Amino acid sequence: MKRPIPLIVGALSGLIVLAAMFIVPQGGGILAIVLNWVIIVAGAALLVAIASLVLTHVRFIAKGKKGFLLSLVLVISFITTLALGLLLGVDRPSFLKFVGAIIRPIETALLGLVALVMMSAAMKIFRERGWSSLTVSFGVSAIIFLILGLGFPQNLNIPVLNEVIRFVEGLPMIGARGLLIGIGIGLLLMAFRVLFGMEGFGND
Amino acid sequence: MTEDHSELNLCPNCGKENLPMATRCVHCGSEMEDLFTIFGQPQSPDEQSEDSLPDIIEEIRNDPSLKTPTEVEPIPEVPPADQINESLLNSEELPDWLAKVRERAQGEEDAIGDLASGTIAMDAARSEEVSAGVEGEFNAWINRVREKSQQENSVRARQLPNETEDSDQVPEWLQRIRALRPHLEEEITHEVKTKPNYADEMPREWTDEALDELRRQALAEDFEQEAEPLPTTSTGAEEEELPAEPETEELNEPVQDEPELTEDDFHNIPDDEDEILEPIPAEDLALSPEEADEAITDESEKEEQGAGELEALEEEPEPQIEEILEAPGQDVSLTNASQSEEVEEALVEEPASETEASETPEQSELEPSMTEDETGLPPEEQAEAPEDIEEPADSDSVPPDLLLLRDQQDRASLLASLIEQEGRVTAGKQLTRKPSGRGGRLAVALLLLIGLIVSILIGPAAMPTDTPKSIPALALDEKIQTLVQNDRVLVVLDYQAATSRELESLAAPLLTQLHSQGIQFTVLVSQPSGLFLAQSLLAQAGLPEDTLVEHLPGSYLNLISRAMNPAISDGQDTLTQVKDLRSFKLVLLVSDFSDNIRGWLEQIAPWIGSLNFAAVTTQMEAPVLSPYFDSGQLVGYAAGIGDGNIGAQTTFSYRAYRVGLLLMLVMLLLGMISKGEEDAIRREEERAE
Amino acid sequence: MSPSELLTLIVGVALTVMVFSYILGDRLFFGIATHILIGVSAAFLALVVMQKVILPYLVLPLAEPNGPGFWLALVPLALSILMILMFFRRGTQAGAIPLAFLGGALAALAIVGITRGTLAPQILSMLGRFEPDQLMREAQPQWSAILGAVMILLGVISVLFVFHHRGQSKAGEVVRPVFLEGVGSIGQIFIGITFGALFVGLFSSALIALISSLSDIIQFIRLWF
Repeated sequence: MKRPIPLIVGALSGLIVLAAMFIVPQGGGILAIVLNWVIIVAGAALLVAIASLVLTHVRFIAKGKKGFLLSLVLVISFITTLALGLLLGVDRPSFLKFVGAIIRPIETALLGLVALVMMSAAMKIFRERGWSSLTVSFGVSAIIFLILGLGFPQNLNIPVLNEVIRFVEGLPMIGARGLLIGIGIGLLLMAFRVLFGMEGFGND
Repeated sequence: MTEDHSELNLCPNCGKENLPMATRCVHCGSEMEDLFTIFGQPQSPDEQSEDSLPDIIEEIRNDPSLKTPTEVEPIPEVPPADQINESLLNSEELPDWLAKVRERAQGEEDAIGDLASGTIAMDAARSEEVSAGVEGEFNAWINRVREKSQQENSVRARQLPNETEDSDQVPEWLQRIRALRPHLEEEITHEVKTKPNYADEMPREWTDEALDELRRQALAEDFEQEAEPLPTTSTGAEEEELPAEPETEELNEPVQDEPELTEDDFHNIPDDEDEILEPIPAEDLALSPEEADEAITDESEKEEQGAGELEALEEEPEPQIEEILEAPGQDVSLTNASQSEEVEEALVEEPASETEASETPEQSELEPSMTEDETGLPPEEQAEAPEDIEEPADSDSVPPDLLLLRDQQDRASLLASLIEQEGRVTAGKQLTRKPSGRGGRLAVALLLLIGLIVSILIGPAAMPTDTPKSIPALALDEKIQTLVQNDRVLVVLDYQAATSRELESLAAPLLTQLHSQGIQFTVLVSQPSGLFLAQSLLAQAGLPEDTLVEHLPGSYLNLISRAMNPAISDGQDTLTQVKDLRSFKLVLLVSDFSDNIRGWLEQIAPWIGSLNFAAVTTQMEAPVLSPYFDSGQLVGYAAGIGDGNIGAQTTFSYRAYRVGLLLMLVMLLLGMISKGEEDAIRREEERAE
Repeated sequence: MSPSELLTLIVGVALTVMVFSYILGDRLFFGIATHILIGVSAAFLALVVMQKVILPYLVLPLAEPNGPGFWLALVPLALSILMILMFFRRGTQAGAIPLAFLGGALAALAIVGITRGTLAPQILSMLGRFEPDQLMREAQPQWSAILGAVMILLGVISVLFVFHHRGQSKAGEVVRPVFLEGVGSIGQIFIGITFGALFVGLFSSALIALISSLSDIIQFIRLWF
């Protein structure tokens, strides 16, 4: 059973935003106020999520759960960064360099790992999924775009080949457009469900 | 349910008992047709005898010697003539009225006479007769007939075994066999559903030998004979009785179509801990209340659920086990503890390891029949079954009710033993581990790493300068060329550190170009990480370090109201330097997430028609943005290594990039080839089979 | 190379190696690296949100009781307090109210945005290819343009049929006509082409990141040898 108050609040905020967007340009003022609230509440939600994360790991450490050493690493790095930020200021270039020096290599290496995983996945994909119009077209498309990515055909500078290449490069647009429209329709329906109180919030 | 010896026919030749519908004596082989022919009647006398039935009753009523003080109620429904015949035949006495009827029958050629002549012939074959009162016998007979008719009307589905003929014309001897082996009947019921595929070339028709063998088994007259293996024909006959049902069920009914009882409902072993077989608590076998209700109301359903439970016992239900369990009524046929243990062993026994268990379809086809042989209790099994030996020599002497009770008891004992087995580590259980593929992954990863490292070590290899850019990138370049000095451009940085290397190589040349053209640009970052990433970008673009980089909370949400009405004053204008979006000629979105770019195009662009949007994104997001470029919502976008200057950077090895793509190409082709080869081998095997 | 740059390089290389130890099956160093990432990112995010959102948008207006934004800031304050109540068991239900507020507002934005920003422009663009000035040039039919327009239209429709197909199959028991199956298969081909391009794009991005990381390690090693 969905609780009524969240449903009413959700529907009300949505209707206000909708109304503000249809009353142009006077609605802009109302919209600005509501969207400011949205930004503040979203920020508060983010802070709550971060606090929850840290508290969970603190609890792990206190209870000595398995893997609490990693929790300790997390909490120490969190407290250190927080202290430095409060001490130096968020906009301080030195602080930004410190944060960048840690985040950037780890994130880049993690994305690099994706390449390694994809290599092994490429071997398995056909064995796992079998032959179908989707997998065959996927495989052929991937091979063609890999060849194009190598740059050899483009460097040949053959006009006809260049035309063919451009035609081939435009093919993914068709599927992407279909996907965009399909996803758009799906999101639209979901948004209407939210507005009409057919979707619950929180623990509903 | 009690068997009546009087229903058995005595052979006119050897005098031994035979089943009522037997046309040939099972002991001496002589014809017994005469026993079923009624003197003076044609070979198919049913209709005529039915026609003569009222006459019989009328005659009996008119007989003064049969007059009773109490008037017999009229017969509500005329019973079939064969029932009357049977009743007459089964009467253990010869009353006086019957003697009179027979006397009249000898002299007359009417229907009563014919009937009487038949009964006389039968009486000659009977030696024992019990005398009783005529009236009581007649009333009892009438009551029996009435009861029978009522029972037939009300409970046609459950006819008693001592009825002479089933509603679906199943002979009584077959009913008796089924009563002794309830599972056979169930299998036949299943047989109707599907057409079984016989793996062998055994004869499918009943033969006299097979029938004899079955009769002998059913009557349990000679256990020593039963212990001998059936001849080939009998095996074929038995397969007629026991078709390869499980294999057809396996084909037609996948495991997913089993009752709602899923594996997860019964075991508490996490999927990621499949290497350890933990004992399953017996409570997990408990049925839900709904299932219990179903089990009470429908015994057959209960059996199926039991099968579902048994399936659920296995962490990974294997086909063999499924075949065993899907054999209908299999557990019913298990009439002794040893057999139940066999099934338990079959349940817990891990089939051959998956590597070696590239089980041919032929094998898998044979297995169900093997299972059926076990469950169907062929002579070998019966000979081995100790409790069968303990049965009396003549199973007819055992009331069928008791047989059924024993059946139920066996089922209960099977379930009890299964529950007992729960939580115990079975000795025969040998877990097979699937190859994790870690070695393969490691090899592939190392191959790529080595290839890249070697390529990097060889030295920098710049991308050819004449490599053509993509059409959207060319359009973006053209758009930037059209900008003049002091035009304003809004640059929005919205990417993560992971893709910073790629995006910076794409965006930095554009910013450098804009700066060289004297364009004024404002830099906003919508991600917190953009604050430190912007430094790196500005440095690569050669822009002054004091270039203002502002964080835009909420990204485009913060600007919707300004896009709608630039004159609005919400009191927070001081929070951002972006006062009026209309003052910008171009918005350059540097993002690694197409949804964020889509958000700008959906929420901001429709309000300001004159504002142009362009994007710098990763190659992965390029296909998603292409429709927006095609529709003109984006004036252009740069994506991929070809549109940027990363290939020209000395710190980046373009050769390594090519090697990586080449290796991926090889892997994809290898994957396709190996799959094709696998399919070819499978096809070849199927053809060979 | 300045000491700070060297320190940055050393830290970067060490963290990169820790992440790549995952390839060899290591979990400890990989876990340490990822937990450092989470801790630093969370703290940085909290600092930015506090300094760039909460302070200027909520605290400052509330600090001026006579200011124009004071009363308006009370609403998000109340919603934020309800959000904080989610920490407590009894307050989890109260937390649904600010979430509902967010959901409702964003849903309304999505309705307008998707309609005006994606559905209408994309459909109009698709149909716009059939305009006479696109298909004819100097009174001559442009067969390539005609072919392209037809292909795009059919391709998009067939992809939409794939969506339809998936929705039906989830419900089960619905058997699609052969015609729809055929159209859906064509749609799958177009989706497969798009996925192939996305796959190569993702691999390309990941490869660039991998080469960058390896280059940093090699550069660091070359510093010492």
